[in-house]
Amino acid sequence: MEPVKLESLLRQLREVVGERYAFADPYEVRLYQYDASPETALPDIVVIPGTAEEVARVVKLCADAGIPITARSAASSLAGGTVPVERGVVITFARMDQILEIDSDNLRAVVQPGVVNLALSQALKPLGYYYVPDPSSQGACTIGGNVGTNAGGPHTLLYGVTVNHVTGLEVALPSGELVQVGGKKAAEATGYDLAGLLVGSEGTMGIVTRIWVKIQPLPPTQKTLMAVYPDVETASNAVSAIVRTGILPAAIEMMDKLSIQAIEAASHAGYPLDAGAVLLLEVDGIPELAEELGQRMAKVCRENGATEVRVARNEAERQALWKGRKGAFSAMGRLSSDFYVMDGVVPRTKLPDTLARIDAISARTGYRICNVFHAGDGNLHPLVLFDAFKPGQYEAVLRIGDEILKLCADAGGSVTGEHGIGLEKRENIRYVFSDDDLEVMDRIRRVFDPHRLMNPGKVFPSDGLAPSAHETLPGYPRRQAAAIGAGDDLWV
Amino acid sequence: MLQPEALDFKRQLERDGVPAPAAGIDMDLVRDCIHCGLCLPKCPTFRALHHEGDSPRGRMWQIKEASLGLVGFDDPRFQAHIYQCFNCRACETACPSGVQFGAVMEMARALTPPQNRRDRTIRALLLNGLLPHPRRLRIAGWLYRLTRSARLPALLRRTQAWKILPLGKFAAFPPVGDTAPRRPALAPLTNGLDARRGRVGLLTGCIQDEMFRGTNRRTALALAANGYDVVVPAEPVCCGALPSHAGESKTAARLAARTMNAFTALGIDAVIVNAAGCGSNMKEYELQLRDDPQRREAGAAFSRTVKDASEFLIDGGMRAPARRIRLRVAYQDPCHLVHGQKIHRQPRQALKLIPGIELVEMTESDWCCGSAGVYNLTHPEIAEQALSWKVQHIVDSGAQVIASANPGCILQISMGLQRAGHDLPVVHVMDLLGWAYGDQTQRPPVVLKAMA
Amino acid sequence: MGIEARVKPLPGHQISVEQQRLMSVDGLLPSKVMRPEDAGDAAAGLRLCDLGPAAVIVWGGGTQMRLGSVPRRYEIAFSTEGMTRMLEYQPADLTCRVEAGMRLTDLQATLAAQGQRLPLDPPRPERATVGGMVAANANGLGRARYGTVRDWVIGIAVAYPSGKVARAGGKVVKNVAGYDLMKLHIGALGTLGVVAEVNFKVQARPEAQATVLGHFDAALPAIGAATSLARQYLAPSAAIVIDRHVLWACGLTADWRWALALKLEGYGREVDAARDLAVRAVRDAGGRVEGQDIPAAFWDAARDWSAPPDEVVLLRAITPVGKLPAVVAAIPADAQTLSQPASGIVDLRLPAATAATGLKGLRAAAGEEGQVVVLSAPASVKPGLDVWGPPPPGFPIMRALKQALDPNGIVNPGRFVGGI
Repeated sequence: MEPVKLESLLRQLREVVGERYAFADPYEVRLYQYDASPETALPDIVVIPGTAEEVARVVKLCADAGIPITARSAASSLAGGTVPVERGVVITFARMDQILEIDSDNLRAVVQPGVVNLALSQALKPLGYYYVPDPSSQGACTIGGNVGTNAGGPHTLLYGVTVNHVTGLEVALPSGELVQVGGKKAAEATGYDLAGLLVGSEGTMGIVTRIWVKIQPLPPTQKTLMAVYPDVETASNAVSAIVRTGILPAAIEMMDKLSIQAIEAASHAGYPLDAGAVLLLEVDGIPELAEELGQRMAKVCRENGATEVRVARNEAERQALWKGRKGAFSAMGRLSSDFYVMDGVVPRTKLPDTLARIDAISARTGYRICNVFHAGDGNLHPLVLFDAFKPGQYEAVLRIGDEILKLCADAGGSVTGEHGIGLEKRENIRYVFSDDDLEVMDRIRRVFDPHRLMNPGKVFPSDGLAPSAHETLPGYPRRQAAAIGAGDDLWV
Repeated sequence: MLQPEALDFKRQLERDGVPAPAAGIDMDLVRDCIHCGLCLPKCPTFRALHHEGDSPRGRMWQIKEASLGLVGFDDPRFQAHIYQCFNCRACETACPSGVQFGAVMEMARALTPPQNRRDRTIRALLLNGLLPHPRRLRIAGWLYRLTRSARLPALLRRTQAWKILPLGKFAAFPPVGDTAPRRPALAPLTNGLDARRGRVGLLTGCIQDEMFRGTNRRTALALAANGYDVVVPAEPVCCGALPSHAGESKTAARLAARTMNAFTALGIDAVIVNAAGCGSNMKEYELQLRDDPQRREAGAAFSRTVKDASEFLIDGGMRAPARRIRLRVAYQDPCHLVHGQKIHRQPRQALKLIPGIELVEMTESDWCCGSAGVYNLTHPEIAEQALSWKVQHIVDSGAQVIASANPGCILQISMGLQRAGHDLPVVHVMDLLGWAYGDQTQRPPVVLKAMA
Repeated sequence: MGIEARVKPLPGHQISVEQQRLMSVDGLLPSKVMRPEDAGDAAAGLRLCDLGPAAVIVWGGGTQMRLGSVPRRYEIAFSTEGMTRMLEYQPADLTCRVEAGMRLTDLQATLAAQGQRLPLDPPRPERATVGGMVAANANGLGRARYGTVRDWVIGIAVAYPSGKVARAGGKVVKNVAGYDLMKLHIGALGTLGVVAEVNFKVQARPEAQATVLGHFDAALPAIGAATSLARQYLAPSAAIVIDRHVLWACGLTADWRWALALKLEGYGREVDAARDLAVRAVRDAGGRVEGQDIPAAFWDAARDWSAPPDEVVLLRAITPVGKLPAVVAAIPADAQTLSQPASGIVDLRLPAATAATGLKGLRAAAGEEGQVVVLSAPASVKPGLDVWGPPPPGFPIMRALKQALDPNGIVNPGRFVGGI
């Protein structure tokens, strides 16, 4: 980008948000090159707007100047979703973190995008309500980011993901308009369901500045069980057995041996270190029902190979069990300096087979792979452990990731269940969608964003469908589709 | 300006091979951070400044880049972000990867001088000029108490002079504490009452002893009431916490060695500390003495004997005091206790054991009040912001008295509350315990009333 | 449409006059019919129409054909009656993939054989098709508890006028790959393409079910009881407030002014507790609960009430719950109503003669945050009614979306919001 153009843009941006909240100092913008994924890329300018109107003006200024815009909030994306891969302007929501309204009559809350997911549930708790989607990073990730990726979490098994809990959005479009789609009332609006379309669009259509979400009454009790299995296959079969009984727990989570070790080192959750796999199950309900369902599930677990079933006796024990699970990714830091998380999905019934194949990949390549995931909905999170300081390891790990995602797609699943395509899986999206599918999606994207300036370089493959003006920038690890799409023959 | 490219290990490895980190940096500790971002909502400076560079993750990233030579340790922007940190270590509690943020921050600070003149002056005067010198410290303490006994605080408030004087706000709004220039010395040995359970040393500290000797006496009383003989070193020692947390590693190491010598000579079962910052520091002597192969091991062994007063009392099975104090009390977690030493439960349990006390929880009790060692002197604006959140949460909690466990926090919060017009005393957990065990000195009016 | 297009031969098959009349929409008659056999076939057919251009109106079971504005043009009746297969069903995965022309009762029967169901209950499932339900966003009485079509569709295949079939979503319950185009097509009334296949997630049938019937002298206390129950953890799966005409239409004979019917579903213990809670809520609100025998077909009749015979006008108001009293106050005296307070929905049947005035009054009462839509109206009065009301915010985007996916405007032209 021409420095002159950027300088004048920076001047204009500062008029909108103030001197302090728009900067291009090369040292300072370096701190916006990363998120929780291994991807990095430098932005040119960082803007920290304070209001929706400021966001709209910032978006318009950038769009008019033809400069890419990437929205970033907690930057806890595991898929490089907030990495400004085509440079340009990064908008962060650190200042827009207010809960605007809690309307218990309508079972709605209205929030700014920078509100931390857990902060909303904490604010609702004294009123007897909560916000259901609970990504494992809920202590840091924001509702705005959740909307971008259509985030899930352990408890979405029974209650659905972010899109099922969003009824309205206010969004800043590249045209400079600030549009409200949907709102407080039930999501059966006239006209196309634009709010539904925007959730999960990873910031490629517009930038969300206000969110209307459903809230729901807290369950009277939650019964949490830990079932211990000799191996992941037995545990996976137990998951199918539970689902077949007609009980759908609020959450079914699985952790394999390696994950258990890391979690125990980090948080002493009380998982048995000698187990091959652990299932964490939770049912919601009125006390007498939760008790009954807990017993029924415990029975099914035992009948299906559990060597031990432990029921959390109180809230502290329940929190301990969950703390281990929720901190699982970050706890991997205890096993390895670096790791690479994947987010594949397979139909529940394909879990045992898929896990066995992943095991085989680990054995063949020599990289340790642990698994900690949402077993109830087949959402796998294999983590490949490696050392980024050892030459060749990063590339090898990317190839392993690619192979695992292909495996999931071939099993009738998906390449991402909740992290989003982002930057990291933009080539892998071809495993689940044809060019025709992607062409329609791109056409829809261009209705909102004709010049593909909103979070460019994400979601769509880099090689053809969505070329934009900023494709040939140095400084980020561009992965060619040809190099990683070849599958098995790369492994000699 | 030419900008170095993004931090991309793959490219770097191809070009430069395996990187050699800067001297004085333990790269394994730095690489523990996987930049997941879970620390961000727990960071007071991120909340105040909204800038990634002032978040724990951003600071770890900068230290990583500096260690790999991508940015300079002497870059003024690096220094600004590194010294803008409270070092409250709330991020350590939030971190699932077990990053030792405090340790990394101290390594980084040791490699870069502070950025502003104010910071340098305070270091020269306070951290290096005053604390390591017991005589100078005693004179300063005497002067401080003299101003209080001469009613200078009231004068400062009336004339508004506190607004322009250095340290004026602390002088004008002083905490519950010692007010007489001359005070009785702490007995070298306080005998345990009833069934004797052991012999412990008590760190009287530097600032703690000059401003809160009454608290030290009540700590000794509480220990004695639980059957412990309490001894104090003949010569007062400073453990080196303030210099250490500010990155003055040489001063810190010297003071650590001196403290270890003073206590090792006493023949005791445990070293009891009632100042959270000191306790946290003394539990990490191994880290501070890492460049001293002879003392390093001794440091680790010494650290294992160091206990916070409430930790020691509760874990040993505290005897409930007899006197009733009918008060609604909120407990403020000192950062170096809750995050530095992971002690959350024991001070609360100790308070609950006092008959009549109703413990209420304030919102964000584990957030830094802005005192943060010398931070409230070096970065008053940001510290004031943190203090204003704290004052609001305390008022909202409906507590009549605030209990904490660190002199810095007590000074800061006390000043903040009084200045905002709230007559809520801030005292040490050991003060309340001491009064409940029978001490009758320095009780603020609300406590007197509650014990009547 | 131009003269030139009219002289071209239209694609599709000739139909009899009788068939023409059966497939008329708001009084307009089709010239030809197309009956594709699968998604690819549908796309190829649409492409022919697009080349025409010939305006297409998509037909499923025909239960929602009176929804929408009067079509701008209508040449081809595009029927999904040849696409009725269940393509995949794996009970242990709780997912299935079906063709758009499948009747809902057929789908539910297949699922029921495995102890499962799709908890969506639009009117007249014996005729309604999967595709029609999706296109019309036709929901039943369980929406407050189980959500709407958008909460159960996990994947979709759509035939576009470009001649391509494009998919979105997938076959797994959790999936964020690519854009969620399911949402775009649900409720789009087929104006962006023809929904050809739909993937659903399904659920186990509830273990127990019960109904509580209360009656009130006024509507507002009944509505209050329903909304307060909706905020409970043990919320009913359906809660309707009906007047005596609807009550009679649903097979009861009691002469109650207003009735609150509550459907309770779940595990046995849950339903027991929910029944106690419901009875208490009714009594607390000043209503009476009587041990009335409830006809087996009560809930089916209530569900089908919103798909009325030709001669009446059916309006639906949707507002935030807090606005319901204002809407209730604006209900004309000659209206019959069935409301679902937890979802902020009031359905009204009005005589054709007073429909326009009634609609105007309700729109004023619903205010800016609410909306009132004509769900059904006879061809004779429809042209005089503003079916959708003022275009919603974001309408320019909607029009641009239509332009992007159906540039020649051949699918269901003119039937949607703002003349789309």
